[in-house]
Formats: sequence, C-alpha cells, structure tokens
Amino acid sequence: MVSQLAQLIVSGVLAGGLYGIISVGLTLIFGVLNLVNFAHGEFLMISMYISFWMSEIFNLNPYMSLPIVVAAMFVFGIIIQSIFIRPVTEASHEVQIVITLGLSTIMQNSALMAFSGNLRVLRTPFSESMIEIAGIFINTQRLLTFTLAILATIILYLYLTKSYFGKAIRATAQDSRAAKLAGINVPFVYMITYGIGIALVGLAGASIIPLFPVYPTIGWHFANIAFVAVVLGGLGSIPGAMVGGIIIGLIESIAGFYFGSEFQQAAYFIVFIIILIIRPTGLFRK
Amino acid sequence: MKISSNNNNSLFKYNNILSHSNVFEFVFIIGLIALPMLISNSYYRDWFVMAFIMAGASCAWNIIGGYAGMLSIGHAAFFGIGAYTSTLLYVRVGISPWLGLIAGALLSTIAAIVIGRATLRLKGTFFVLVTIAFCEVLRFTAIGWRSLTFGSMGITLVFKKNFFNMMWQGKTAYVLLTFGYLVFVYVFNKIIEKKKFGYYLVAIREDQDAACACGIPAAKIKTIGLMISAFLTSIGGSIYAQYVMYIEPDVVFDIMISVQLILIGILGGKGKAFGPIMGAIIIIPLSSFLRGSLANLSGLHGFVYGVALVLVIIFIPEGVYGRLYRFFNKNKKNIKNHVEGVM
Amino acid sequence: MRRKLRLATFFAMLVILAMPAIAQDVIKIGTIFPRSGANAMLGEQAFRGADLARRFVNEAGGVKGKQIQFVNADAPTPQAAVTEAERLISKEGAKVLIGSLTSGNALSIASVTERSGAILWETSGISDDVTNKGFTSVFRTCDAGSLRGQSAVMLAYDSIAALLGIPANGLRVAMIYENSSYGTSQYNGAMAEMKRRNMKFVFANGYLSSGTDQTSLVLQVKQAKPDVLIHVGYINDVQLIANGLRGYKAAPKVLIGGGAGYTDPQFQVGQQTFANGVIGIDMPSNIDPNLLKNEKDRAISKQFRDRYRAEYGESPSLAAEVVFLGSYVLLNNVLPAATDMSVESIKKAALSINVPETINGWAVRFDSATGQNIGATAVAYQWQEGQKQIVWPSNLKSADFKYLPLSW
Repeated sequence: MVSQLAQLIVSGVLAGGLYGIISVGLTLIFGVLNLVNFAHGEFLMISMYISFWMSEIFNLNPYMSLPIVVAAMFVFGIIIQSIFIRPVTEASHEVQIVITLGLSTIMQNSALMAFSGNLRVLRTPFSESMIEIAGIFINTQRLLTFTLAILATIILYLYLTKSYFGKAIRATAQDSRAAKLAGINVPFVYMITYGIGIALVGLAGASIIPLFPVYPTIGWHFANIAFVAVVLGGLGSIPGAMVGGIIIGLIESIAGFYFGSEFQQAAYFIVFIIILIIRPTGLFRK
Repeated sequence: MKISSNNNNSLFKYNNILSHSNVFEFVFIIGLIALPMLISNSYYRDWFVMAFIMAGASCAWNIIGGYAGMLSIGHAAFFGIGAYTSTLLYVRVGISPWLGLIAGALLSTIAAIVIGRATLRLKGTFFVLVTIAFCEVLRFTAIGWRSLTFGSMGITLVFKKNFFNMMWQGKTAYVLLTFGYLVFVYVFNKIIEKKKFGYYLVAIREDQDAACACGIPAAKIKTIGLMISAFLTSIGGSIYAQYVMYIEPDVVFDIMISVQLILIGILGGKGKAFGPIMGAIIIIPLSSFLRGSLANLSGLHGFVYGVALVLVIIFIPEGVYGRLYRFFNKNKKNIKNHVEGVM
Repeated sequence: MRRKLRLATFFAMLVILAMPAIAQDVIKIGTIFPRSGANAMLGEQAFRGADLARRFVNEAGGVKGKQIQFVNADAPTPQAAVTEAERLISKEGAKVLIGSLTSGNALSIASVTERSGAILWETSGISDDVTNKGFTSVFRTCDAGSLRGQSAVMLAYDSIAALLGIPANGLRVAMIYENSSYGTSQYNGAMAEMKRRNMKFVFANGYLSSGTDQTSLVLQVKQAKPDVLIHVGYINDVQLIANGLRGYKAAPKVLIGGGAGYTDPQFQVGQQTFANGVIGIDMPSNIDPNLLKNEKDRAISKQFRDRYRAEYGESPSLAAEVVFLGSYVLLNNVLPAATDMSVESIKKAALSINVPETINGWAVRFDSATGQNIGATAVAYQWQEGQKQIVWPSNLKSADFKYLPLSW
C-alpha cells in the first residue's frame, strides 16, 4: 500500500517536471511583459515538430537536436514578439488577448496545412525503458526530462539573479517605467525575455517528442496545465511555476488513482480554484 | 476623472434617443430582422440564428466584460448550464424548455454568486483564469457524471414540433425567437448603460480604488453584474440546445465558445450595448463562409480567420462599432465619450 | 433597333440563366467530415475513402449516365457540422450527405437532415444514438458501438477463457475505455452483455483520451489483476497505456482492444514485436481479397488498395476503408436503384437493396425501422508477426489464436 503511494508520488513528480518547465516559460513572460501568452501551447507543438523533422530528415536523435531546437525556438520567439506583440505592448489587456489567441489559431492551422493532422510518432530505443528502484518503476525518458527541467530552471534562476541582464529583466518586471528611467532598454528586454520563455518551451518539446506523438492540436492540453501551474505558483515566480507544475503532476497522479481517471483533470482545476480562494497570490511571491 | 452627480443635463443631452449612433443602431436592428425574413434560403437563415444567439450571449457577456472590464473567458460555463438544465429537464421530466430556460438561468446565477464571492479580492488576470478553470471543471463534470448528463454521449433531442417544446419546422420561428432574445439582452444593456448601475460598472473598470473611495460597493456591484450576465447568457444556451437538438459537454462547455463570445465582444466593440451585435454579425457569417468555401485544404479557413482576427485588432483595437460610435459622435464632446468610448 | 436589342438581351439572359440547368448533368452528393481540428487526421482519411468511391463509380459510367459531383464540407466540431450540413443541403442542393466519422457530428447532422428532408449516409460514426432515436433520415452502413463491446465480452468468456484454461465464472475481466461516445457506447454494450451473463468487471473505468499521463490508470489496472483487459481507445492513448501496462508490469494475460487504437497500422509500428498476441475488435478491414466470394468484390478491393497507395503513399486506414465501403454502396448500389433523385426515392431504394458482400465481407441490408445495416458485424483480429489475422468469427477466420497469454 505504501509502495503504491510512493510509486504514485514518483510518477507524479516526474510528470510535474515537464509541466513545470512549460509553466516557467509562461510565468516569465507574464511576469515581465504582463502578457498572458495564449499561444504558449502552440509553441510547444512547433518545437515538437522541429524536433521530429530533425530526426526524420537528418536522422538526429532528439537529444542531439535539443540544443538546435532550443536555439531555434529562441529566435522564433523573438521574431513573433517583434512582429505581433511589440506593436501592442502598451495596449489594453483585451487587445493582447485577441492577438495571442489569433496567433494560436494561425499557428495551429499553419501546422495543419503544412503537416496534415497525422500523428507523428518518434520512436527511440530508449522511449520505453524503465528502471526499477526499490519496487518503484521510473521511466528513464521522464527522468531525463525532469532532470533537464530542473537544471534549466536553476540556470535561469541564477541568470536572473546574478547576471547583469538578468537583473535588468527583473527590474523591468518590477516596474517597467522605473526601469526605463534607469536606462534599461525595455523593449529589448521584452523581446529577449519572450525569446527565453519560448526557448524553455522548446526544451520541453524536444524532451517529450520521444514520449508523445505530435499533432497540430496538442498544444492546448499542456497550455491549460501551464496556466494553472503558473497561478498556483504565483504569477511571475520562476520557482513557483516549477513547484506548481510538480504539484499538478502529483494531483493528477494521486487523484487519478484514488478517484478515477476521469476525475484526474477536473481535480487540478478544483485544487486551483481552492488555492485561488485561500491564497490568491499563489504559493510564492514574485 | 469625476463622476459628478450634478443635475445639469449635460450628461444626458448628448445621449438623447435621437443621437446619430442610436439611429444607426435602430436601423441596423430593423435590417437584422428584415434580412432573414426576406432571404428564404435555410443556410443563410442559419447564419442569422447562430449570429443572433451568439450576439445575445455576447451582449450578456458585455455587461461584466465590457462595462466592468472583467474579461471572463469562462462564459461557456453559463451557456452550458443553460443548455444542460433545460434539456435535461425536458428529456427526463418533460418540462417545457420555456420553463427550463428559467431554471437554467437561475442555476447560472447561483454559479455566478459562487464565482463572484470567490473572486472578490482577485485582480483582473486571476479572475480570467478562474473563469477558465470553472468552465473546465463543469466540462469534466458533465463528462464524468454520466448518470445525470449522459456523459460524452451527449443528449439528442427527438423532433416533436410544438410551441411548448420550443421546436418548429423550418427556420422562421427560430429566427424570430433568437432575434427576440438578442433584442431583449440589447435593450437590457441600453437600460443599464443609463442607470447608476451602469456607471458604477464603468467606474469599477476605470479605477476600482477610486470608485470605492466614492462609496461604490465594488464587490457587490461586480457580483450583481456577473449574476445578470450569467442569467442572460444561460438563456442563450437553452435556446441553442433547442435549435441544434444535440448537445455534448465538449460543445457547450467548450472554451472556444467562451473565446468566441469575448472575440465578438472585443472585435465588435466592448463597452457598448451594440458592439457585440456588430461583432457577431461580422464574425459568425465570416467564419462560416470561410469554412464553407475553403473546405478542401484543411486548416486554410482557420488560418485566414486567425489572420483576420490579428489584423482587425491591430487596426481597430476599439472594435468595429467602437470606431463607428466615435465617428457618429465625434462632434459631441461629452464625458460619456471619454469614459466609455475609447478604451 | 432598340427593341431588337432588348429582345436579344432578353434571350441572351434566358440562355445564360438556363446554362446551369443545361450543365446540370451531375448528381450532387455532399461529404461532411472533420478535416481540420482535433480529428483532422482520420477525417481526411475518411474523405479520401469517399472520394475514391466517387471516382470509381464515375469512371464506370456514373449513375444512370450522370456523373457524381461532391460538394465538400469541413466540420471540425458538432457546432460547425450543423452549419455545414445546412449549407450542403440548402445552398448546394445536396440530397444525401456522406458523413461523419465522429458520433457528435453524426447526431448534429441528423438533427438537420431530419428537419430539412435530406439523408445522412452514416459510414463511420458508431454511437448507438444514431440509429435508436427514431431518425427517419439516417442510414448507417457501419456497425453500432455497443455490438463491439458485446462481442468483446463474448469473446472473453466463450473463447479466451478456455484458451487460458480458466473456468468462465472465474475469469477476471476488466475494461477501460476512452470516455467519448466512441468508447462509451462500446462500454455500454459490454456492460449489457456482462449483466446478461451475471458477471461483473473486476475494474471498469473511463478516461480522457487527451490525457498525457495515464500512470494512475495503469496502476489501477495493476491493482485489479485482471486476466483479460478490454481497452477501447484511440491511437495515441493506446500507445501510452500499452507502454505503461508493460513498463509498470501491469499487463493482463490477454488484451482485447476495441477499435481504432488497436487495429490501426500505427499500433504495430509503435509496439513492434510486443504487438504479437494483442486482439482487436473492430470493423473488418484489410480483409484478404481471396477470402471474398464474389469476383467483382475482390477486384474492387484490390483496386481500392492499389489506387489509395498510389495516390497517398500509404495503405488505406480503417477509416478510409469503411467510408469507401459505405460510399460505394450508396453510389453503386443505392442511387442506381432509385427511380429519381428525390429524397423519397433514394430512401426507398436504400431500403430495397440487399448486397450480399462488400469489400470487407459485410452484407448490406438496412433495417426499415432504424436505418441500421444489419449486415454490419464486428470481427476480432489478432496481431501475429506484423499482420492482422482475423481470429473470430469462424466464417471469416484467417488464423487461429496465438501468442497467448501475452509475453509482456
């Protein structure tokens, strides 16, 4: 019985790492640009496609192509931000919502036109391998994803706190007007930050393509979870988003087992609502 | 910005019934009902029916989304509650949907109270995310609670044409019914706009703290606004169910319906009673037309639709009717223009 | 001079207006499938199947000398299906709509055809509601979902139990199913059969096919220790769960899959040698043409496969095949039997036909009360060395059961 619970916890935490890294990107974008990025899931989808095609065309193992995907997504994020988001930085929330929603639709349908709705599966020799420790089964792929996610989060956190530009980003997040006065090139910060957020999503996408097939509409599922994780963790808080993601993974795992899989997804939304009522600012502050 | 309560008529002089914008709205609405009555093609009438339902529901959304600035992206929750309540009462207990829609609306109002109290202290973005979550919870509940809702199998209505069943042969009756719904919500909005309640909502949107300082009970007003909005949206859901005659959780609780409602509101011009009507009459036929004519390359119509959205919001951020309204009233310097006209 | 000009213009206009009528030597049939959105992949395959049927019939001379022209619609959601059905009927003038792939679409379209006097030719949606709600405008060529669930249970108790050497009343059977109408209708049928036999599932649960982590479900199955697991799912979730069952050492002795995820070629691709021994219950498809009795059906079967592969670079999927089949019956058997192209005549023609065999072995004969093809049955396949062999029923059998219990 206890080992059952232990298994559920381990699986949940590993799954949560994936949700976390996606959420970290989202919370970074929100914290700095004050933008709810409704197209976040679509960036994940695109990064998965890039990784898939790298493997199909160049025979590159997804872990080999991971740095390429991350770099490509960073550049892609910057391009999108410059074209679509920058013009409406000062505009009201509604405008930003419509833009990112429009972007999401455009990206989804572009993928559909370009790649058709077919599920693209990437099989690697290690997709399925499990290791067993003390009776608990661990999927190596998920373990790898989790490790990468935690590493990336730590690196990001260090970058934001220790490096000069990182501090500039944090300053902009705190008060963009003051940052401008202090001589920080705020539009540039916005652009780079958005790129970083998308690059993180790229990391997630490249890590999970051995696990899940990619198809044009896969984005929304993960995006939903990311929104919940971000609020759970506290809007704008990097460690918060990771913790939020892990919590959701845990809830999914445990609620799914004890209350039934149909309840799995409803469960984290309900916990989400409860947390918002009790502690709306989330678990961590910015 | 002051909301003065002085009694000189400057606030109302330029808002008399015969202002340019009001005349335009009136004429447009007459056109809206004349057109489907003149066009007998069932397909085009379907455009109107769907557009009317969405316009009405979006006008209902507008009450808290536009006037109060609370951008709920979860209004499908109320739409779905309306659809399921009236349909379940009809299918399981035999109650006429005319009564069922009131039951649904009441349930939605209770849901609104729950959300309202829970989000009292939350700021804008949190509210948006709670509404999304709430709708998703309802969707999963509708899927999981099979003994009540039939789950994903959905509910299929059998056609028995009858006024009490809200089922008719042909489209005429539906056109009239949905038009009536639209006009009802629209007039409701117009009345709220003029009353203190409407001004309170706008005040809360513009600066909640200042509003509170003026003595406006923000929490109460927001909750009441949400309740009214929920009530009216729910009716739209019930009518929709009776028109389409098939509902399932993934359709009526779909986040895409919530998104469509706010898109219609924003692109049409939120904060104006007429905005969503304009938005619906443009967006619904446009997306149906695109889907109909670009069916052969999958994804193309969605792509074009997305591009259209982005272009419109970049060039006309205040919404189509927002721009028209400014055009009609551009020579009239009044507070209302500054408060509600441009965002 | 002026008068002559006016007269000339008048006649010119008459001719121009009459043009469409003169050019109207085609029969318009509508197709409505989800070709974008979440079901885009299967929807597109479904459309291809219908389109090939049209081309075959047109190449053979059309229907009574007239060519078939498709008017196509994309219905990514049931909401869109309503509007598109209206368009095909009221604007394009189609009398018959070939659909729908998903049951949600099927039911939405049915509500339109019921009220507008058109026909829904249902080729692929399996929810029971499509034929038991008293619709008079729906004809379904494919089987009903509940029948499949029922077959799965029958298979478990009547064939598998003996194979495993377990007495029927000691057999532990569990069922998991994706909880849309696709999986739920099969579950309902299975439940009904269990009740009839006075049996109970040791574990039965629905799940969301969009979930990306099914670990809890797998662990629940592990806890229940079933001998036989019946699983209805789509391609993606089936892979996840199958991998999970193996990875967490939760595999049952026998796995009976219900439909899409288990019979699609992707299953083999994803599972490789582990596919051996897995059973799938679905519409018969990819039947060895030599098993067919009728020479013409064998020819059409080969022609279909060859053309599909030549044009699309892959073997036809089950979705493509079952829609091809249904469309071909409509265009090749029903329409020629109709006295004219009115809805009433087409309905009468449909009820009159009795096709003994189609390319997948099904007979086609519609029940006059429900519009359901009573010749549509389910078969059980088993993956054996990369091939799907039919192991049940015995008259269509191509191989015996092998590789049981599973070596997972």
